[in-house]
Amino acid sequence: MTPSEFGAESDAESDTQPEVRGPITARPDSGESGLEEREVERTGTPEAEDHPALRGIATRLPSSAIGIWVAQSLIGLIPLALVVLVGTMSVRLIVVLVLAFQVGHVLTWLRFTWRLDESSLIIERGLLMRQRRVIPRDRIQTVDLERTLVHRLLGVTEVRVEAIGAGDTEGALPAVEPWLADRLRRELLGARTRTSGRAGAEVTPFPNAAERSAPDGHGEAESSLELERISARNLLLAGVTGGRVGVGAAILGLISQVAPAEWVARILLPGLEQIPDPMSVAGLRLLLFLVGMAFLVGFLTSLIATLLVHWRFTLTRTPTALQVTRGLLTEHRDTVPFRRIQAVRIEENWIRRIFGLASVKVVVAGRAGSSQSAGADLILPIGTRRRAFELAGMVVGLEGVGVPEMTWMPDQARRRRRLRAVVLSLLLGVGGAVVATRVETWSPEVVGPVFAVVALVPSLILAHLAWTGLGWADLGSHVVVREGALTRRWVLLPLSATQELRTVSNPFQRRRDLATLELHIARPVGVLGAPRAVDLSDELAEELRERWSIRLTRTSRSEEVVADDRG
Amino acid sequence: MSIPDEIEAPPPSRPESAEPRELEARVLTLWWITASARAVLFSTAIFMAFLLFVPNINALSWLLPVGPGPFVVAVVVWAIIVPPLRFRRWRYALRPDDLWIRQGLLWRSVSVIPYRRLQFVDTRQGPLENLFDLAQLVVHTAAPGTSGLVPGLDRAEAETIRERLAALAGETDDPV
Repeated sequence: MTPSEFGAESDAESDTQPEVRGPITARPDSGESGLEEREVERTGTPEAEDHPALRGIATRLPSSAIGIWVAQSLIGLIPLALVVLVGTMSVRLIVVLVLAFQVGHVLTWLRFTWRLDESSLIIERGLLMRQRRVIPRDRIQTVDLERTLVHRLLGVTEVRVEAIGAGDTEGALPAVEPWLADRLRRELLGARTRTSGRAGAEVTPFPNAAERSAPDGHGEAESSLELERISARNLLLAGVTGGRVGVGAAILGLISQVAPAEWVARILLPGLEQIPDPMSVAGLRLLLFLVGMAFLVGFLTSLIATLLVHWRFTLTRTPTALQVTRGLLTEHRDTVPFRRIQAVRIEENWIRRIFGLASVKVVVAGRAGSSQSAGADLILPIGTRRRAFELAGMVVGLEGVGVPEMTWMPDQARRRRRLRAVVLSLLLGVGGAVVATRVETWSPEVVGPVFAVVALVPSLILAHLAWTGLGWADLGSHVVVREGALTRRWVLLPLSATQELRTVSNPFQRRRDLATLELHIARPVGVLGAPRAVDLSDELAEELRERWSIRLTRTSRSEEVVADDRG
Repeated sequence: MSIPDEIEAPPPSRPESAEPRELEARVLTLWWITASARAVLFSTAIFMAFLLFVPNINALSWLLPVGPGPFVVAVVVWAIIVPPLRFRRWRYALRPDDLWIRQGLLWRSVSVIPYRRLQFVDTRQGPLENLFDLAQLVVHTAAPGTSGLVPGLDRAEAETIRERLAALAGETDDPV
């Protein structure tokens, strides 16, 4: 669609006036009452490459959206069905309730319209309370397409538009035709490009057609380029080394909360007559067994989740955006324009570090930490460390970085951590002694020191690792900071993405003339903190703050984007 | 590798036309008022806690002034001492390219917010501030948790700064 087509549509101008009105919604206080009702244009057949909604006419979703909602609510009704099975509610009542729900979905569908005009995506919905959401195009950060099993069955796609602002997804179209979803994605993300005189990226839907060529090849005109394809074997590797064992422990913990421990033990150990005393040998064995089970469950869940979510993971790039296609049951296609990427995170947990492996995530301001967009920021589930940095560099417009040479933090930082480890061990010793006074067979004079000594070695090792994990590097236009004892987290960011530079120091840091430099960037709220260089010498922290703040005011973000747009 | 000795460039020399400024002295009075109000509240809470949680308080009624005493003294001393210290630490500067803010007693920080990164600039006034003819200047960037806040500006001064910064923020590049 060209801008001139918008001009032909007089409605496109009046985006402050809702085009679909109903008697229910004509609330006197809304100031919108008394507007004439207009006909809602029904969704056309996909043979037209043109869609009324794209011309700024309020349009309903295809009726299969009802199917999506019905399916979702039926899944939600499973607990209710269990209640029926138990027999506390009459079947007839349930059926009535369910039917009522479905009528509700039809009404929702009737009252749900969307359109795209020159400046914004506009979604209007709501039965009694009309909700009108206007998402300006230049505020849109990412567009993610998702197809669950139900979507695939009904031949539709969900479109999720993330903008800066509220915590959850800003604009969601639960079901549109796949071609339209793709078209919409291009429209929404291509708008900027068109105004700056560049053609929008033409990408074939689901990138089987994506041409394969050298990953560092750039300057390609309109086509998309496959950067990375994760084989099932590597995905398995990612799952195995994922180290998300905590999940299993949590599940087991939940089970033990819901079901009585005795019951669980009976199922796990059929031969068991009674729960042994936890202090006895048999009790300890049971405990160890349960912990082992927790680890196993966690391991398997992590593995299966990784496989399901990232199945056939493919990363492609267009001239303006990165695109990730993935998922076995639910297909995802997530698109992030390069200009929206604030920073890149490279993560190496301790298992992966042994094998020289890492994963890469992008930091985008809009994508909320909602469960729906979980995993959408991952652009490399697993790869060699070299590849991870190559990719990370490319994403932020820095070719050929390699693994950056990091500057370590001063020795004072190490001493600080060492002292912390010693104090922690002493506290543990005191804690042990206190516990020992309550146990008859333990003597505090022995237990306390033993606790302290036993804790000292691992905490000193951790302290050392925490220190070696710290680092920073100045790459001119970009900066790298790193922290993490067991899982090392590198953040690579263009200085131009920084919104604020801040040095902070607490009393313990000041004792050793240390300070932390924080680089505040636009990022999702509350997921992870701002990138920071922890425990620089205070003089250096101040100097870097000043030096970098000058550099970032001298280069504007937009200039830079144009500069590395590879045009 | 140890402490980096590769700092090639000397510390930047920028036109420091804007020297760090103190807050208005009136704000100290305001802080004392709010701090003492808080101290009164805390002290009351401590007394209440003693009344509720110490058993046989009647038999130990002599303990009432003594027991919570140290806590109350600490709270009061805190309320007296901290505001002037905080005031002495507070500085802000409108430098050529950025807003510079120094603050914090135990957790000290120095923030540098380039004008080009400003999303919007507010001035705020509570009822007490109104009484003292003071205002707060609040600047927002696109990053979460970076609202540069300068309390205790003269109201007219705050308005002037706001207008100036807002004009500068208008020239900002694309936020994110």
